[in-house]
Amino acid sequence: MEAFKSGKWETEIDVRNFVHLNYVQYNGDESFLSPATQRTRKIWEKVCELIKIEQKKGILELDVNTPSTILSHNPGYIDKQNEVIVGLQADKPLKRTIKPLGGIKLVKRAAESYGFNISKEVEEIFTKYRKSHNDGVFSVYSEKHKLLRKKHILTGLPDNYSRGRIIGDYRRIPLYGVNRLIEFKQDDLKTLSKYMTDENIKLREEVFEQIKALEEIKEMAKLYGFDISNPATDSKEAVQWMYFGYLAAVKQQDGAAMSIGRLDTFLDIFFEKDLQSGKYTEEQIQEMIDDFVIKLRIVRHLRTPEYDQLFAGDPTWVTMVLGGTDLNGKHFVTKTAYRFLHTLSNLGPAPEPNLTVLWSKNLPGKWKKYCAKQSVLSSSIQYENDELMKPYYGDDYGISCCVSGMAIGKEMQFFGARCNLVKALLLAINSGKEEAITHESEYKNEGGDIIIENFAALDNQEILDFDEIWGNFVDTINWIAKQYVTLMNVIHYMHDKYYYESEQMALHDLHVKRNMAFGVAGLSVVADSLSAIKYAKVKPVWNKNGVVEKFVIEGKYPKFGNDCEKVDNIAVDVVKEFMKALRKYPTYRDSKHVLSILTITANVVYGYGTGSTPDGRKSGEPFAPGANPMHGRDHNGAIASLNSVAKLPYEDSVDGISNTFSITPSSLGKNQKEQTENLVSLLDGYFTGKGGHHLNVNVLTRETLLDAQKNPEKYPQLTIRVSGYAVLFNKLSKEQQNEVISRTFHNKM
Amino acid sequence: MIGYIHSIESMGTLDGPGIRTVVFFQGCPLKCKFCHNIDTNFPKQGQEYTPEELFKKVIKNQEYWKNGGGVTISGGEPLMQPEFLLEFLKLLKENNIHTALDTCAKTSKSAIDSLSPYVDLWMISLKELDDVKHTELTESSNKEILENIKYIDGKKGPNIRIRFLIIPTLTDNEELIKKIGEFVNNLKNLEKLELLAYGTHGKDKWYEFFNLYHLENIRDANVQDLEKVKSQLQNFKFEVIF
Repeated sequence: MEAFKSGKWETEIDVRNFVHLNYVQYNGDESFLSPATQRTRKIWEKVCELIKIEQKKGILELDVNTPSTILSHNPGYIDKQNEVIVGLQADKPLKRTIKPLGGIKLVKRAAESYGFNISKEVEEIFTKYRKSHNDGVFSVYSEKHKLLRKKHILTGLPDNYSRGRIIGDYRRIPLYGVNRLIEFKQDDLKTLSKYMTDENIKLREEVFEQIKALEEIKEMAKLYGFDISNPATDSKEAVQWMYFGYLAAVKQQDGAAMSIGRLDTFLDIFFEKDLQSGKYTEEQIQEMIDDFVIKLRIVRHLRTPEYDQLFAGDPTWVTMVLGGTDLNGKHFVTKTAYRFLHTLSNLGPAPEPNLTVLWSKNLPGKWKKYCAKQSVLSSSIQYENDELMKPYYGDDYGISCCVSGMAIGKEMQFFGARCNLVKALLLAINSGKEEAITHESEYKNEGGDIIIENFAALDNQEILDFDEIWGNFVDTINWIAKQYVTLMNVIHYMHDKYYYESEQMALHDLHVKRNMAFGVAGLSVVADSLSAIKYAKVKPVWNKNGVVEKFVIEGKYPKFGNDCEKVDNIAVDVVKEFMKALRKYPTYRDSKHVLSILTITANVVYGYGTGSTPDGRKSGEPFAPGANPMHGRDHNGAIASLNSVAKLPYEDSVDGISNTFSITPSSLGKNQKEQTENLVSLLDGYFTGKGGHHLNVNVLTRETLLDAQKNPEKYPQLTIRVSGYAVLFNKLSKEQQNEVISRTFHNKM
Repeated sequence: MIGYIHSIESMGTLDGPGIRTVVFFQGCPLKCKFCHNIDTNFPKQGQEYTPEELFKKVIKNQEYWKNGGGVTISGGEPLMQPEFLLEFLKLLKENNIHTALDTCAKTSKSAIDSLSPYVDLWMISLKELDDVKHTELTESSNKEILENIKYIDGKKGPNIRIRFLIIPTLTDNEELIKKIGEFVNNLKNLEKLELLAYGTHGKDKWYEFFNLYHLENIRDANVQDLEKVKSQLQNFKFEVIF
């Protein structure tokens, strides 16, 4: 394509430079958008039919013979004649494949739970001849690592599947063509030939693998009839080339979250050119976007039923950021940002792609209103604070998974799930012993197993003393932090060794910044518990194993979520202490310690396996999701609740602070216009005013959810935001549905 | 100086323009049968605040008040604590906060005189025009109320929003609606007329405090009821919302 503005991007890989020089801002409203065409509707209906069958069967189809690689499967189509953008993970839509490099045992178990058997040959290869990531990790884990994992103090660790959270810069393929990318990589290799140090040897092998992957993407595209050696020459090629990059990634890896990055402004440059020249119409461009989004909605991995239970269905976290601003405050909103949000109207709401609007005071007012309107209608959008993230990630970053920022093509992450902080507090009270867990007043576990040795018993056994418990808690999280960092080092060493993401890393610079992403769950339970100990009287009732069976609370205490400094400061201190503890221990490949406050939907499962707490939460009851206040404890309305969460220090949790906000339409305003305007004010207040990081927005009535629970067939596309992503309500377990329904619905008195 | 506050709602969207922090004052001179916050009726209960403390608490939400938002003072009846209210309102206006006063307007003219420079929007809840029916419904005459509305309307500056509660069979007859329309139409500083729908959600609190509920046989008003009343008012020029 002719006539792009020249710049640095022509001589080196610099997509950001290309975007900055060439994009056209859009300040208008949504009236230019095109509705779904007949063609689009037909394809989407066909996919919906397949999804229905899939939901009944668990999974639609599984190839048990062929481990998935970029080139493992023949091309697949939904409707070959009518698809505008093509490419599937296997030869049929929704057909799943196996990826045993993470661990053959898990793949086998997952397949069997859906009535499939992995072929003998595959099993033999990955048992006898080829070591997997999972084998690697377990050959090195210490006894303490295994114990913390078994006791669910450290949970959700990526030690038997792919770690994910890496975003390839898929834009590089249409901008440079694969041949040019290979040349750049070959130049990289030359810079690594001087010293064969450990790190250089490792990097050389990785770049070699990356080049191989790039060759394979080219081959894969050829099977679909495209030559992607050279840059894309028009809009359709730009979308297609880029999608091939993403497709190759989800064929090679089954990462927990495989996000797609930041495409809107980049693609818009191609679209604008073609609209101007008359090559494509708005309708045709929307068809490309709709078709592309359909593809992203049907990415599938083989997971175990337990995984689905933990995360509610089949999340893939194809997170895509929209809008945002550059370092000087100039906004990045283009018509294509509108086009992506418009898919929620053209195709109906859906969890994927995980549409993430980057919020800033400098966004145009009409765009803000359109986002709010789509939120009110679909509950499918999350918002993140652009101004807060830019100092850390620059202005060409994406969001991985739910809330993790990273500069596209320049940063990657070692994902590390999370520590159950509530269990850490209970260890501090129970002098290093596992807590008792009861369900409906029957013991599930009487507790008492020693987790941390040589931990002195409490001086104050009758009434818990804040200073003593706080001291013990700090000691406990320091002990856990050491285990957590060393365990993460093991996981990521092995992942690099046995399950390296050569395709995604081929779309990165040679020298990337690596973040090691730790996490915490149950923050509001910990804050409220410590507040109860400090401001009320908490009497522990000890059982025969010397651990607390339940707590008796006398008096009132301030609760997180009411904009009250007394307790909000405790939550802040907990985050700071944990981060301080983590930073003491060196990380694999000198990665940077980062922390998220995020649970996904696992807050229900985590709570189920955690004993009674000093805040009055009963054994087995769910935690609040992410950084949310506990259900029903915020008594001053939604804004006071937002203000409490906004106080959590982003500098100590730069991997993200997830907050989920649910409000009934009538509490948001009298009519759609007011609801939209009030939501804009709310987002401006939370982000620009208070410096909050992330907000999921649900605008729903409790009655709708109750009806959907009873009559799921009436609500096939009912989508709700949960901590950091969205799910189909029907895919939540009964317990998760109940938890969502019971969660504070901000509803005016 | 101490004020008695029932509660604070930080995300109010139904009591005035934009997003508002709504402060519910304790105490009320009326005892409306339909009251849905009857626990605000009793004076000198609830949380104690100085005007400064209350101001410090609500001002934390000011970043959300773009687009016309601000603070609504409701209750109970805020005018039951006039000195405290005045000090609180002064603090808000010193900081250019938009203020709305949700009141039944049963108070002294001197209280109105002292407060009105600090009130941007008087949201006056009018229950009945007929004094006998008003007394039956609220245990209080409406004479002073109607006079006060006109008195406030005679002042320069503040806008008046009249709020009228539609209670099926009690306040939705065409004759009353027509009279309300005429009364409202005569106000010079009218912002708009807002129709509110009666609901039974205050019943539990009545039973808790008085062990009875007067409107046991009356159903909730619905959107159709409000639509109907709105259409009966269509010949007037003022704006009607609900």
